[in-house]
Amino acid sequence: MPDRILGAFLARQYEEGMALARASDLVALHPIGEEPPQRYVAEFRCAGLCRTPAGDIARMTHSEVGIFFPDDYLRRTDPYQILMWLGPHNVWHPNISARAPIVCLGRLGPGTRLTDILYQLFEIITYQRYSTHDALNADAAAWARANQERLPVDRRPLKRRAVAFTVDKDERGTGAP
Amino acid sequence: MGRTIVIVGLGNVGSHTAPLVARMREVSRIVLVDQDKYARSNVDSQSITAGECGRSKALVQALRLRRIRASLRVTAIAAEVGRVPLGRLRGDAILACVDSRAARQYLNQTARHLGVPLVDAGVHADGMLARVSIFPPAASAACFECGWTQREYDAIEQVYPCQPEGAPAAVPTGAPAHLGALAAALQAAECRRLLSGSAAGPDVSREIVVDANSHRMLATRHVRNPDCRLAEHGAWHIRRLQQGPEDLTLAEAIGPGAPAGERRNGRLWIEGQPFVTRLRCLKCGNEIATLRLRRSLGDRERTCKSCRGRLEAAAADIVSSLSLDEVPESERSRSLRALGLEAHDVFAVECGGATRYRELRGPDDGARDR
Repeated sequence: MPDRILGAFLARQYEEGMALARASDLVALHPIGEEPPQRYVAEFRCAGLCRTPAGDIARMTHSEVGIFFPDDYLRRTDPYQILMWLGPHNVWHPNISARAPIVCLGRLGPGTRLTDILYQLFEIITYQRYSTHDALNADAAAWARANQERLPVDRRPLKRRAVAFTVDKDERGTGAP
Repeated sequence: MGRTIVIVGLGNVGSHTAPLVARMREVSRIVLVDQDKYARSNVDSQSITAGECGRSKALVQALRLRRIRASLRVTAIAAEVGRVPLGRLRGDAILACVDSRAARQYLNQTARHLGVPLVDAGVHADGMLARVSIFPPAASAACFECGWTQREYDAIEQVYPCQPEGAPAAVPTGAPAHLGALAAALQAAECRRLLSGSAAGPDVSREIVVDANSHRMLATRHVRNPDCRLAEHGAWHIRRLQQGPEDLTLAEAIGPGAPAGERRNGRLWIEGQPFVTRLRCLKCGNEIATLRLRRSLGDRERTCKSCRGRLEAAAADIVSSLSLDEVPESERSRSLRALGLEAHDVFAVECGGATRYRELRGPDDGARDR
């Protein structure tokens, strides 16, 4: 049961997280449970890598991660408890385990904002950020070291870029091409 | 009746604090907690001899205190303080002499829950500063975390999946022995004031910093932060049970005497200590169903029997509390000991809308001073 301080934090995360999802074509956020939600499923539509049954490294464009804010999230964080890789299970990444639903963002301080977590997950999935030191998937780490020129696999920004432009009417004044 | 003082951390400050407290006549029992062993490099900065290197800090200091006063009852606990059952840290004051932020935060919370004052000491070698902070247990008094900002929380030591060997060891303070002794003397003086009842008001939290370079002293009063992240500042009312962890099952612990419906919805938890329901091998993917307090899992239980890989619990396998509804029938009749609870663990039970705190009996209860 969230206390007053955590409740306010969770409400803020909900607002910011949903705003980010609305401004992005690459992530959708699904809150779970009563408001303010303590659980989310983040659905990423950016490119990542997976390993096919034949053993080839292929591109994937859909992945899901569970995010949970426990009652003591503002005071201490347990990355094992906060993040859960939901799929695909054949993901190919040094910092995502191929055997257990564990994803490693590195340090995750108490009170890290939901939007920061989403950005970090996005960077991990797209290989904009990865660590081959102490990897959860040693084979993927070796592959990443040998194929650095192929990374990242998706260079688009998470948030849709706003482009300001104006359309001038042509000389005939119709505005038609 | 004599008083009990709990000293956590026996390094640069704590190794000097313990003998000072042992010399206080009103103290009849001291609990010493430190998981480490003394190293050669500690001889210059801590109150030990070369012959004590390689031995448990808690045991070395326990022997020393008994030599100072044979009648003193000393309990040495060579374990990380976060793994020590809460009831074993009961006393009249907790003296924190630790060098990690996470340990300080844990002791702050522990002192609050137990309703005892926290006297925290520390040093800063570069500035030649010795510090002691006093936090009375009153709900209206500032706690250690009241003054924390996000920066302090960001600096808490953490274990994460890519770095499985455990949190990085705290950086040695590099403080000389005399600076540790200065902080220890301040800490012991504040402890004595608490015991004699001559400390400042019961809700006044304060900090004293002595600058050994410039011979200046700074006294600061801490103010209770209404937005402190430690929401519960008041003490728990903890009832001591007649039963130990082997005498109670989960069902018995959750709702003794409660109607079946309430009991089914009841929950049991230990503050900050989750349970795990499944372990998964990071190397071969082997999965093992279990129901244990995560704290109780040792290296053996965390090693895969098939491939010797590391077993970990993922988010879905970690639960903060247990309720009868969610626990398989077969697990309900297991003893709390089988679930990983120990003597003197304090567990919380929520049943019928009320939260109650219970301490499990230990084998040494009859022989205690209290």
